[in-house]
Amino acid sequence: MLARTIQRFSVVAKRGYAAAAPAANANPEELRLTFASPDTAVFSNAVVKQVDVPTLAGMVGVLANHVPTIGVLKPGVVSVTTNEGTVQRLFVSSGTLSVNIDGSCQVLAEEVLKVEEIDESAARAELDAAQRASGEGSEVARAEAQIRAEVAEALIKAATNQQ
Amino acid sequence: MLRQGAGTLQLVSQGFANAEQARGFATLKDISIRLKSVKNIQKITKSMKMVAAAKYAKAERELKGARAYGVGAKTFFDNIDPVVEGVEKQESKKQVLVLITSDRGLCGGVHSSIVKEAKNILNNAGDKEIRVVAIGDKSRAGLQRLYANSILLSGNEIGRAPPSFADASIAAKAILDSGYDFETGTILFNRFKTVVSYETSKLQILPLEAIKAKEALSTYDSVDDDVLQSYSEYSLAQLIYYGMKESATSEQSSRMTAMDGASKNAGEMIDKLTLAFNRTRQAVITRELIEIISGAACV
Repeated sequence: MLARTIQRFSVVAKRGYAAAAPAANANPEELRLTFASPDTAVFSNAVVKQVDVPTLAGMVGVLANHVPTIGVLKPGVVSVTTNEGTVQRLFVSSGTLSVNIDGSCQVLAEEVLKVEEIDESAARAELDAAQRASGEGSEVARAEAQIRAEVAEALIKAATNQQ
Repeated sequence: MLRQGAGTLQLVSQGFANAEQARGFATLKDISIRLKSVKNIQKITKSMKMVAAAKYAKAERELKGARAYGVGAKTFFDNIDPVVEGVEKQESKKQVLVLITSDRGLCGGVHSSIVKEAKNILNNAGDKEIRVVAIGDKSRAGLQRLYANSILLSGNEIGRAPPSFADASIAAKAILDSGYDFETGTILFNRFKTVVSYETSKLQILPLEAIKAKEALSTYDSVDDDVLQSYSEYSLAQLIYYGMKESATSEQSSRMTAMDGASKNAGEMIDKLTLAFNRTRQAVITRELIEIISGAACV
């Protein structure tokens, strides 16, 4: 009984807060996306239709009213479908995904690059270098090289449109 | 690089080197030396202002993106741990305080306002254990005398170049590897408002265990330990990065204002000294004339 009243109270309090905060005004039927790298924001709390995000647990497609979740990005292509139906494809290296209780979605990547801007030959050179480096050195250096190779591979895949 | 704290204080004895200064009336030579040095100082502060202005413009441009990033990183924590007005949060016993300053001074009160806030928190700690992570020499120097034992980590070599995500990752990794398992944490930074104003703000950080304990987490889907750990580590770096960016922008804008003020003050001093110089020169000429005339009158 007590627990229930407390719970009810907390819901009421939360509502009050949400109404007071101007940022959380949008309705939960919309998907509000924040997609940013450390120095540029591609989308900042913009309403979009769908986001497809590569995470360690597999590709996650987020539509409005998605159940709250969190995830860790893996190198790959994030595609964002805007309300007008245009699709933007951007490469991300690593980062986090969160879909929150208030209906907002954050994709925060360490590096963001438009798929059209990927230099395929540079990615191939990077892959070769990383593969060479992954066979030698300390354990940490090998692991780092493996990650580099993984990113380079994903870059090539994205550039050649295999995803 | 960050290194384990508990400072190694170094004391250097200072001889009484400040010799007796010339007393009495300032001669023409004294004033001209003074005038020259003030002019040089003005040149320096002017160019520092120009440099700060250029750096500020860059920092402000970058802050726009960083703000979206930081606010995004914060959203998850706001969602699982909402701030309910009127309800005091339960204070946890073991806390960590991350102070974001830089190595460089001459920028008004940005660093001291952070140190002041930290001192305030440490003063009212009561039976809580609060350890400090001092990023930037200025915050360490500010706390070293009174709270040297509270410093968990301190790091420098920040402030010359704009902070990068790599810097934040290093700091986050050092905090996670320090072996101090805190229950909650706070980042103290200066939130940039306008060119002339900033606000010393707090940003809450939650380590893995604290996130797990939150009730709201159960509404989140497909949360396993691996993901949660990576997520919490990553968001620590993201939040530190955000704090660093805000602080760096505040610092540059504040330095710009401070150096502008210094140049103006130097200008005022130059005016006064020039007046004094001219007066003294005139006085010397008059005295010499009087000497000549009275000498001639004697003959």
